[in-house]
Amino acid sequence: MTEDYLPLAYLNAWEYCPRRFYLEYVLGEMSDNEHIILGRHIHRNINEETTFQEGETLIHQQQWVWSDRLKVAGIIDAVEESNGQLVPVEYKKGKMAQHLNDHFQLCAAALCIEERTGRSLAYGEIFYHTNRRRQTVALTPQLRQMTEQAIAFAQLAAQRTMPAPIDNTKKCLSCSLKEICLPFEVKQLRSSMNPETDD
Amino acid sequence: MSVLYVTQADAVLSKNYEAFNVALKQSDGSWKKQTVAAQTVEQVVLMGNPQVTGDALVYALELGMPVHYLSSFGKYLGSALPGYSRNGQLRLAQYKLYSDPVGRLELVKAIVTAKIHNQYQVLYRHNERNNPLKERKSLVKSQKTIDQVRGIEGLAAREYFACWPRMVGKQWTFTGRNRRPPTDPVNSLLSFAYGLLRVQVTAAVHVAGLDPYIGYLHEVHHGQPAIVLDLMEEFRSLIADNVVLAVLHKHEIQPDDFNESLGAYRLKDTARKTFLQAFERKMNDEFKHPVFEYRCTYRRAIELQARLLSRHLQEGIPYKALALR
Repeated sequence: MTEDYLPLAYLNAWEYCPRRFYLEYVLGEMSDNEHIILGRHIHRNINEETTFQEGETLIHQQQWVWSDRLKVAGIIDAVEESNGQLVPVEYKKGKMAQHLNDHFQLCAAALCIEERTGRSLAYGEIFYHTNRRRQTVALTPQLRQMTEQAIAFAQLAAQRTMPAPIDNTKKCLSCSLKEICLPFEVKQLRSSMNPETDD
Repeated sequence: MSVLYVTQADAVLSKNYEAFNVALKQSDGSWKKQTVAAQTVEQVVLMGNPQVTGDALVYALELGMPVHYLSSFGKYLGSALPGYSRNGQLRLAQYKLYSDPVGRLELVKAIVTAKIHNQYQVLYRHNERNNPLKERKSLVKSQKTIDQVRGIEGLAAREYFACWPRMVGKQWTFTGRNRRPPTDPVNSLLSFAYGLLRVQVTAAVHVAGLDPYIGYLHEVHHGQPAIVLDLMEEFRSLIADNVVLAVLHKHEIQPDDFNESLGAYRLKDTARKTFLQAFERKMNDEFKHPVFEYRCTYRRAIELQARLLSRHLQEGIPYKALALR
């Protein structure tokens, strides 16, 4: 039913770089490192879908969420329920920075929960593992609008041809897919082409 | 990163925590154990048929490491591959070029031009200046069909190996390339080296997500891995031929390092180890990349070419075969 829905995790890739999103989502590419990390991660903490009580808070872990309106689906790390409020929580292994892409993923999950439950959510939280910080993210109308726009653009891009490499050396150098994408090599070889073969 | 070669038929490869253990049977019946940290290995090559525990095989695959099986002659038998690339669109692009006569001829020319160029460089380095390879190379461009290009390639190969008797040194007789079986020591070294190269190129083809059996210069028939053979062409002389000439020149391999049976020659065990080490040294050698100008090992260059070919197929950027000065 939701197999053609855009997985929420790819919204991160989309915000990072359209080409990376295409390689991962459309072409199914993944770098070895990610294989290993993913594999180990899955083996180490088999997070099953569970619900448990912590003080006043009811925590639903690893919740499957989806939206038929936006055609997205995914798994949210946790949804915490207290004082009649639902709060989506994402765990990130990095450290806190102004990462809009993390916000989009969280907001998209919130939109899914709203659609499923008919309730409205005010904010979500991101827990950054590296510096053990919890960041509260307000689900403002602007964030919601930008998130829906990102989803629409990503879905459109998935129907088209592979995007060219981006012009962001810093991003490319720290990208785990650089050996597959070959941004510098592709740009250099492209610039050596005859302009007449431009399609 | 390195390749773990296990070449003793009665060896046992097992896994212990984050490391591989290789147990080798000694002549007195005892076992000698060696430990190799898994992080330092990127491929496993098994020759003859050593034992591999299920743990070791699964661990290699979990770490994204292919495990290749070769016969004791060094013939490639097959591999256990991690689930790398699942890029189906790339395969579609690969099939599409197969039936595009213009694009295909273009790519074949690029490959053969680089191959002849690299052969010429080997000769030049060994002071073989009197040969027609330069002319052959420039002839490739004007050919109208793939068969014509293959004709030039075959001609250049014969002329190239015609220079070899003078290059291999006085203690070796070499009267031209032959195979299946190689009927002299030098040919048996060449076959062995091409077999090792083929393993590396096969791994790169799988990593990049290409279909091994659809190629452009090599015909799609007899179950031959056409694209693997295509990608090998630019590396044959760069890597394999140079390794063979190097071990002959340094006298690392001697005429009595071979067993002969019914006119077919093969390396003895100790010499095989020597040759594998020489091959690995070459694979880890660095050169300055002629197009991108960064330092690059031959090992990385092979994977890079497979990936660049993929970009050519999917994105139409020109394919530049590796040609070294």
